[in-house]
Amino acid sequence: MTPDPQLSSLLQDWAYNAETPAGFRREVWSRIEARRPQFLQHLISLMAHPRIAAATAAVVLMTGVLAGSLQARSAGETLYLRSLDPLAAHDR
Amino acid sequence: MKRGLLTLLGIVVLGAAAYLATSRWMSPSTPSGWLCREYGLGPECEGRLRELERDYGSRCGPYCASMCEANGRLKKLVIDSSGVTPELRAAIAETDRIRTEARISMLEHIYSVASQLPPEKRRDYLLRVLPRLTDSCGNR
Repeated sequence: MTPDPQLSSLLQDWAYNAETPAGFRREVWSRIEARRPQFLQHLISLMAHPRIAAATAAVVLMTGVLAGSLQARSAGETLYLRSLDPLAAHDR
Repeated sequence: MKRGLLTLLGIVVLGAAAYLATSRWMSPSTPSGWLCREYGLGPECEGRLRELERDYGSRCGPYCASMCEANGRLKKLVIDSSGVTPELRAAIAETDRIRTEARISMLEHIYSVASQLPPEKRRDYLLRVLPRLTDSCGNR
């Protein structure tokens, strides 16, 4: 295939001279960010699945019970130690 | 989306309710209640511990009044003096004397409580309670 001299001449003269508008790069990244699902949105969409929601509820429930019992135990110990020390209020 | 959001909110509320209910339900109403729960003691032992607690409360109460009085005297002397006077020394010694008496009384009570516990739990109780109490008295 022989090159077309006319086309070659046209291609040699052609120059792409487009300028990107100001803030083009920032605009591109903000649009990408807007389309990316956020963590909370992702979590909310996961909660729409009954099995995932039930498993999460079970874990949260157990964590709440565990944290509550640890807190009660710690509060009880503090209460006991304070009751032993009659001068605690004067020392602090 | 709305269903997922409601489910998520429900789970958060569930966790918070579980935490609050457990901490309230398991919080002991009295100091000896915590001790009995912690060491798995029966109701008869709890009764004896409550009695010891009441007796100790009546014995250690006067120390608080004495300490308030001694602290007030010490505070006044510190403000009025420009150096360590014999009166100031005596006031400091008085607060130390009250504190020492209170600590001896406290240790007597601790040993009384420890004697109510099963032998294998006494050491654990003493190890648990004594360092905390010595720390609360200013790391002496």
